[in-house]
Amino acid sequence: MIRVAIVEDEAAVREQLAGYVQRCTRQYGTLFEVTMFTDGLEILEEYRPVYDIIFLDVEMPQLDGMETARRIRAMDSEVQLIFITNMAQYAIKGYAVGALDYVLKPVPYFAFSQQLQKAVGQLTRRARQYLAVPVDGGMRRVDAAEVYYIESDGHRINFYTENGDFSAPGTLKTWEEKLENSAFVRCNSGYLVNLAHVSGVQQNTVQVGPHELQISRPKRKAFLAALADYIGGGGA
Amino acid sequence: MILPDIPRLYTALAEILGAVLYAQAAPSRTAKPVYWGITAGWGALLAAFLYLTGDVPLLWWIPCMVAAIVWIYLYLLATRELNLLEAGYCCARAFIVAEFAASVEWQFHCGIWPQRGAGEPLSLLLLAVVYAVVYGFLFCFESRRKIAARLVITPTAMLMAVVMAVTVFAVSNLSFVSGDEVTIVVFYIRTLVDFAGVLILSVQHEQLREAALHSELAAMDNVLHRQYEQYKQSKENIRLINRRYHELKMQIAAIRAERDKVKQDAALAEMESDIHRYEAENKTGNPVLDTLLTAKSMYCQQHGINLTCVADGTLLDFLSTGEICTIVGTALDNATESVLTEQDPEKRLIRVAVYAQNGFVMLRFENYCAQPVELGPDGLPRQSSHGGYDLKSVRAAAETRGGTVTLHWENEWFTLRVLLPQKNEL
Repeated sequence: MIRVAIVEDEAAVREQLAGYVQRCTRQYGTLFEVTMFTDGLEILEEYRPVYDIIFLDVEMPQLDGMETARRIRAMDSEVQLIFITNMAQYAIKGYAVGALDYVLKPVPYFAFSQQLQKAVGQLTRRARQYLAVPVDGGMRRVDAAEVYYIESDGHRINFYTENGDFSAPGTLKTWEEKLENSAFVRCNSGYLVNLAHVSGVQQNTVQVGPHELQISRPKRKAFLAALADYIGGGGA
Repeated sequence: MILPDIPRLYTALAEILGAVLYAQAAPSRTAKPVYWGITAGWGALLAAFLYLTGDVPLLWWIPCMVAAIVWIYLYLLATRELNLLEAGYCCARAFIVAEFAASVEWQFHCGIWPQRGAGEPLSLLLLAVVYAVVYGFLFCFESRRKIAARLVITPTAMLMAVVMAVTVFAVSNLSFVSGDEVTIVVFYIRTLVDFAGVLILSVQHEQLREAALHSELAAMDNVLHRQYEQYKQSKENIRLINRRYHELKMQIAAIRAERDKVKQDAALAEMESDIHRYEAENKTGNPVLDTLLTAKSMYCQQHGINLTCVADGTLLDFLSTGEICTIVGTALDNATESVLTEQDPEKRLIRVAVYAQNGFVMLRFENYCAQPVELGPDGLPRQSSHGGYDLKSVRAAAETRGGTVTLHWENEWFTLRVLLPQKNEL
C-alpha cells in the first residue's frame, strides 16, 4: 500500500486527481491510500512523515506549494514531492526542495499516471537494505547506506562504514552479488564502493566519504556510467 | 637442390590465424564461447581440406585454393557482423597475410635446415615463433589503430583489395608454374611479393581509416556548428518577441488612458497577465539554458509536446556557450524528434532536470518512447533516428569535462543522463 497525499485548493481538480489514482490502481494493480488536503497549512498541521508521495499545487491561497514543500522537506527528507501547476516557471525551481518533477494543469491522465509510476519506482529503489555480516563470534547487522566501501583482503573482507571499520571472512565477489541491486560498484578489483558516498572523481582516484581510492583504468568507464545512473536515478 | 613446398597444414594454420585476426575488427554475431567453438570446427575442416588436397595435380590446385578462400569468406560472413563487401575486404587481407606468413616461415625453414621434416619438434618450434611474431605484430598494430567509427567499404575499395590480392597471389606463384625446379630464389621472390601485397593492402586500409576518422570529425563539427547557429537564431527571435511584447504593453497603456470601461479594463488586465506569464518563463539562472529552453518550449507548444523542466541553471555557468548548446540542444532535439513519432499527443512527454548532487552536476533528459530503442556496443542507439553522431558529440563534450553520458530505454521511457564533475571540485 502506497500512501499518497494530494494538496490542492480546487475541489474539482482534487476529485479528478483522486479518480486518476484509482484508475492507476486498475491499470497497474498498485494499491494506493489517498489523503486529501485543501491547503498547505492543512497538511503541515501536525505533519508526520507517513506519506510516500505528495502532489502539491503550487498556487494555493494561504500557503503556496513551494513554501509548503520547503517546510515538509525540513521534517521529511524521504517523501517524493510532485508539483501541480499551470505556471511552469514556478516549478522550475523545484530542485531546491528536491522536487524534480511536476505536472501541468489541466492535468492529463497519461502524464499523471507516468509521473505516479515513476515515483512508485523510486520508492522501491530507495528501500533500506540491511546486511547480515558474519563476524568473528556472531553476526553483525549493518545498514547498507552506512557502508563507504568494502575492501578485499585475501580470504577476508574489510568493511569501512560511518560507524567504524571491521573485518569479516568472505570474498568480495559474494558481496558484489549480494549487493547487485544496490548502488555498489567496483572501482578496481579490490574495492566495492557505495555510490551514495562518492563525492568526487579525479583522473585516477575517487573520493568515497573520507577515503580516497584508486580507480583502475579498465573499470573507470563503467564506474562513471554507474555513477551517472545512480545520481541521475529515477529513470522511469 | 630441389626444395619441398610449404606443408599444407602450415598454410592452413596461417589462413586460420589470418581469418581470426581480421575477424576481430567486427563484432561477433554470437556469444564468445559459441564463436570460438565455430572457429575451431571451421578451422579443422579447412585444415583437413587443404591436407587432403595437397597432392592434387596442378590443374586442380587453383580450384582447391579458390574453395579454401570461399570457405574463409563464408566464415567471416557468418560469424562476424560484416556485410558482403566488408567480408570480401577482410577475406582478401586475411588471405594475403596468410600467404606472407606461410611463405616467410618456410623461407626460414629452408634456409636453416632444408632437409628436416615439417613435423619435427624443431620445425614446429620455428613455425610457432615465426607465426607468433608475424601475427602478434599485426594483432598489436591492428588493435592499437582501432577506431570507434566503422570503416566504409565501398564496392571500389573491396574490388581493389580483391584485385590486389589476386595479383599478388598470381605473381608470387608464377615461378612455380613456369620453372620446373624450385630453388631458394623462387621462395625469395614469393616472400617479397607477398610482403609487398601486405604493405599495399595495409596502405589502403590506412587510407580508409583516415577517411572514416575525417568524416566523423566533420560530422561532429557540423553538429556543433548547427546547434550554435540555432542558438544565435533563437536568441534573435526572442529579442524580437520581447520588443513586440513591450510595444504591446505600451499600446495597452495608451488605450487605457483614453477609455474608461470596466469590461475593457478586465480584458486588458488579462492580456497583461499573459505577457507577464511569458516574461517569467524559463528563468533558470543561466542565460544560455534559458534561451535554449524558451526556444524549445515554443517549438513544443506548436507541436503538442508537453515539456517540463526543473533546472538550476547556475550549475552550468562553468560550461561554455558551445558546450551547453551541444549538450542541452542535442539532447532536446533528440527527445523532441523521438516523441513526435508518438501518434497520441498526450504521450508526447519530455522531462528535463538539472541539479547537483554529491559534487556532481546531473543533466537528465527523459522522453516517452513506446518503441524500444536498441543500443549498440558503444552505448549509443543503433538507429540514426535516435541521434547517432549527435549523441556522440554530447558524449565528447561531457568527456572533455571529465564526465560521462549514459543512455537507457526502460518501461517505455528513454533516458539520457549527463554527469559532470562540479567545477569547484577540480
